[in-house]
Amino acid sequence: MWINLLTNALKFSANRERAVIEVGGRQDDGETIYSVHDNGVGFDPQYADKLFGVFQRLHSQREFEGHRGRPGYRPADHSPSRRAGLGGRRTGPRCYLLLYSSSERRLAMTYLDPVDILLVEDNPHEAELIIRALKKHNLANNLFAVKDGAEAWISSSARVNMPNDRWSISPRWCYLI
Amino acid sequence: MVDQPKMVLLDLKLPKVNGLEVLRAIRADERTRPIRVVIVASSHEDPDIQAAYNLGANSYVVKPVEFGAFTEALSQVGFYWLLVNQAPK
Repeated sequence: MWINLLTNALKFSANRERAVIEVGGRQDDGETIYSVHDNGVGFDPQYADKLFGVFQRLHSQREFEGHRGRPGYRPADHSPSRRAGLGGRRTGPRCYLLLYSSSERRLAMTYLDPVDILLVEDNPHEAELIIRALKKHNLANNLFAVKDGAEAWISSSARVNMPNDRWSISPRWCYLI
Repeated sequence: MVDQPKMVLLDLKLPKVNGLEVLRAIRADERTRPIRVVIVASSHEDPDIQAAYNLGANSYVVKPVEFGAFTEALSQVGFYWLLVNQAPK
């Protein structure tokens, strides 16, 4: 599992001149939380105004070989100034949390960034329009978009995979590895 | 630490699993049940609209064809559901 995560982090930051992958861990209320954070392709502030470009970038086979089945992508604006206004933490391009339940002896992965809007839209043109419309009221900063029902369904029904998981307070963003 | 989405904007015609099934899954779990789900669909068909409301959609918006109208409608949806509407904490 760790090999899988670290390999992912390496792959996603392969295009970086200097790849930075941070691995952390802490105890929180009896639960062990590990995090893996990479500076790979995805959410550079310089692309903040080109949401659709990011959108396409994330789906480019060239950059994400073998990763088309990933749970989701975030065409969100991650520029520090915008996020600071929301009181959000800038966690960088991509941050996963691994949650380990000692009672269940299971691991799950969750996205760290808070999400206000889950957009489920398969048509990239319409997704772009929706994001643009939401930006009018500055509402697209914490948006997570998925392109098909299966991704949304998986993210909203993680309970199927993780019964009685007391720590899975946000089942949508937990994925078993 | 990890927040739930405040709102789901859901298309109906989707690959693999359609929007109504996604809505059903969201409403079937008590943890996701309170999430505001706004259907954003191309269909004007009444059966689709009925089905969406019966499954607990909070709102149903037909995608306007014209660019300006589309942006305006979605901007209003976001404004209402995230800023005007009061949701449970």
